[in-house]
Amino acid sequence: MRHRHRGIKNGFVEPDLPITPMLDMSFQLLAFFITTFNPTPTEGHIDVGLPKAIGGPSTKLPDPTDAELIEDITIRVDSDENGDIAGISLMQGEGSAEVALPGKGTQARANLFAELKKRLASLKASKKGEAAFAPPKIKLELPDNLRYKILIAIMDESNRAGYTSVAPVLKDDKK
Amino acid sequence: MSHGSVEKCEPNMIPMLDLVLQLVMFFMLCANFIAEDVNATIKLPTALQARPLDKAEERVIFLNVDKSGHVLPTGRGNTVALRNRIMVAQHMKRMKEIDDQLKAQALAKNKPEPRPSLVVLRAHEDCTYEMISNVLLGCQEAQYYNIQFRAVVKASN
Repeated sequence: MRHRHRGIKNGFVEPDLPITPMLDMSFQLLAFFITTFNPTPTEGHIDVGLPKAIGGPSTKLPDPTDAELIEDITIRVDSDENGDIAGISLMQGEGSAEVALPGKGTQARANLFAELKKRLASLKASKKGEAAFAPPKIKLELPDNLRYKILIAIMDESNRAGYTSVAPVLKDDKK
Repeated sequence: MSHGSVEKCEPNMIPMLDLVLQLVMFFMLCANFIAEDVNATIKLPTALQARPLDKAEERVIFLNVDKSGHVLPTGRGNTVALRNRIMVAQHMKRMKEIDDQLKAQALAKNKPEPRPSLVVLRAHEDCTYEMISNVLLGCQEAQYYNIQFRAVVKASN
């Protein structure tokens, strides 16, 4: 009964909340969340323009006057034993001459970026009058031992240079 | 020195409790409880041009590729690693069957046709292109063409 009258002063009841256990519990929760806190890095995506053709190369002969085929770029990558870039060569359009870019590894990627940017700028300049301009598609011919991070880096450089459709060429002979 | 009256000196705990509860709330909100689709052992490569994810995608198929090139599909019941192109193609064809069933159900209920599933490839940065190519071929075989590569967004300087 003593307890009941503890907070009564002139008819005013003072609430007495037990703060300490609540604080204890809060600290325990806090400790749990701090120890389990694992911020994940922000993930993004890079689109892959996968071709819809199934069953090997098409039997239809390509039309040599097709504007897309003339402008499409094929990037051929050679790799070293560590799966890094040993060399990059570039070809624009069917049957055009292959241009080998100087450098290896990061240097080759930087040269690729500069070359792609230059080609896109000259193409844009030649099509100045046209209303809708779509950058040419890029096909990547890659060796089997090339590391995934190098593939992403090449796709990244291509996107950065302004090309939106970049796709690795799939080899149907692998079973 | 007075011995007759004892004055109680108590620290004010309420602001401290407020602060602690706010911290608890922060960590609760930031805690990542749902990590079923994301394999933490896979170290993704970084990319400057990686774009944020589109939340409009209704159905996403995650394919995690580990360092040795084994594909680890996510979701309930998927515990077996896919070791070659044939296994990937079989898995993707099963996914396609589920997609087709969902499509048929939506059409039967006069609902709009669901968008085809998006395939998200989360590969370890050191895995080789050979396995990536196998996965892409498997997807192509099962008629999945909407594919994305995942990378960690690198902040540009």
